Amino acid sequence: MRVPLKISLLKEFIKRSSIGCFLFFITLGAKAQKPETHFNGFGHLDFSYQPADSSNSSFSLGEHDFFITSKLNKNISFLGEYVFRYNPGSATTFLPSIERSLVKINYTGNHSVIAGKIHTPVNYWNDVYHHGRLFFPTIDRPIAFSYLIPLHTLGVQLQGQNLGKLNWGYDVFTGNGISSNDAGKKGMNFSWGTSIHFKPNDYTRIGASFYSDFISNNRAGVHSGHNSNPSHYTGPLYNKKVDFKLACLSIAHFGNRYELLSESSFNTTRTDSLGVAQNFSSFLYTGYVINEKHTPYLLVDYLKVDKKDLYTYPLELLKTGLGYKYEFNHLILVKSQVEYLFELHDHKDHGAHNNLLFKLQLAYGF
Amino acid sequence: MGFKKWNRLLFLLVWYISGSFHKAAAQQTPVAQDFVVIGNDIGIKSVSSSGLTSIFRGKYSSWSNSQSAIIVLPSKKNPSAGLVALFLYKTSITGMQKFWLSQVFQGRSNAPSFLDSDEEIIDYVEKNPGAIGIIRKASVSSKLNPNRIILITN
Repeated sequence: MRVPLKISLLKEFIKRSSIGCFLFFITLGAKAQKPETHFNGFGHLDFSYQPADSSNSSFSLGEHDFFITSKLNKNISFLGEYVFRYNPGSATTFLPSIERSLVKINYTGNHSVIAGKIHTPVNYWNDVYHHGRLFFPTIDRPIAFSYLIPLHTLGVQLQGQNLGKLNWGYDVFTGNGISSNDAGKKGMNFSWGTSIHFKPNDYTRIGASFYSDFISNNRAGVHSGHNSNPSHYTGPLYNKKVDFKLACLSIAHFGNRYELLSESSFNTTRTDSLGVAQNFSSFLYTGYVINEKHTPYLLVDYLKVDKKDLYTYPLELLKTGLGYKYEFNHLILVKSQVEYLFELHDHKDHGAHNNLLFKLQLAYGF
Repeated sequence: MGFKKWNRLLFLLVWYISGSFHKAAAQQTPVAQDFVVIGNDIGIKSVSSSGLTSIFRGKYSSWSNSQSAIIVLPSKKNPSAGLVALFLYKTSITGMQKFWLSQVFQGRSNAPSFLDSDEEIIDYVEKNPGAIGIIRKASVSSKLNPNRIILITN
């Protein structure tokens, strides 16, 4: 009986303290000011063609993203990102979701505290591109986003940016992690993480991060691209606790002539059944900017999930691609990509197999 | 026939790409002396060229006097836009707009104010403490409060 009582008191304390802190910050230095609100929209239309199986070739309507920013007073701003995306469970096959919804309080200099649903700043891609295909250098996210990367966190974040001559930045965050949804979670264990980066010049950013979560029943909620019922695995599903750790390294350079993005992740999952599994992913993009309209590019994307892994389950994928980006202006572009996906693990249906794909994407914003 | 057609298409593509490349290279590079920087209660009286670039790339959320930083830039309709984009961002107007769209989408900066004329920029900076803007030297008029001018040093 004592333990639940303590937990409920602690929860009440956290709840009241959070409300108190929030109201304090809201009134701190707040001078009545008309909110300045901006609305943007982003969307994309895709086409894919698979020569080996033309029945898989089609046009598809991508995510449609409604983006709002509002300056609430001189130090406080709001950012919201609401996405309509394909969901086979819906009658219209599209459902809305809240991808980001946060209040940012700039308490001093370039230091801020953020509360709400954020894109977990574990790597450059997740921290910069979010759901805007208009900004993606390639058609798709790196493969690791569907398996290892905790896309969102619902909680609080401390952020610093452009500090010192090297433009250092930091993020420290904690919140509901992988197994939770936007309404909450069970238990008192929170995910946490920290990341650091610096920008040696206006076009380059180098960063590293660490993330930790304790997934009590090995179920992914809405904050991960991971699916709890993976299509590549046929064995019995593990439903006990998983200790999840992730370290990432990002190197990004987007200059006037050359573009490079390297995203590497090292992930361990510890289970009582099979012990520690070590997983690895690496994504490399290089682009040559002929001029501001034309950018041909190359990509290599690799993911290896250990045979002992019971969270993602064993998997090995390699994608190589060649693409071309044409920008009409900063609000609309077309990307074309020829890619070859090597499924190096045994596939559920067919055994190991490879896919040649041709993809087109029209991405826009307004 | 088919081969000739493809050759012709390839030639047109190379001509188009190289043509737009030369067009970009032909633009004259503006220098600091072409511009006047104006600020209202931003806590600085002078700034170096590199410091200016950092400011207009959103390095500061607030000034040393705690005023919130407001960036004011020429919009596409403003005749100064191309020169400002090339001077501060080493790119075109589209490149400058793309940079800011991306910054705002990341949630790391507040959206700048893009204004259609240098007169509007002068007026906006005058009315908004914390605002910093850039105009062409040719646009300086008697409407500009001399106390708002920020000196550009080398």
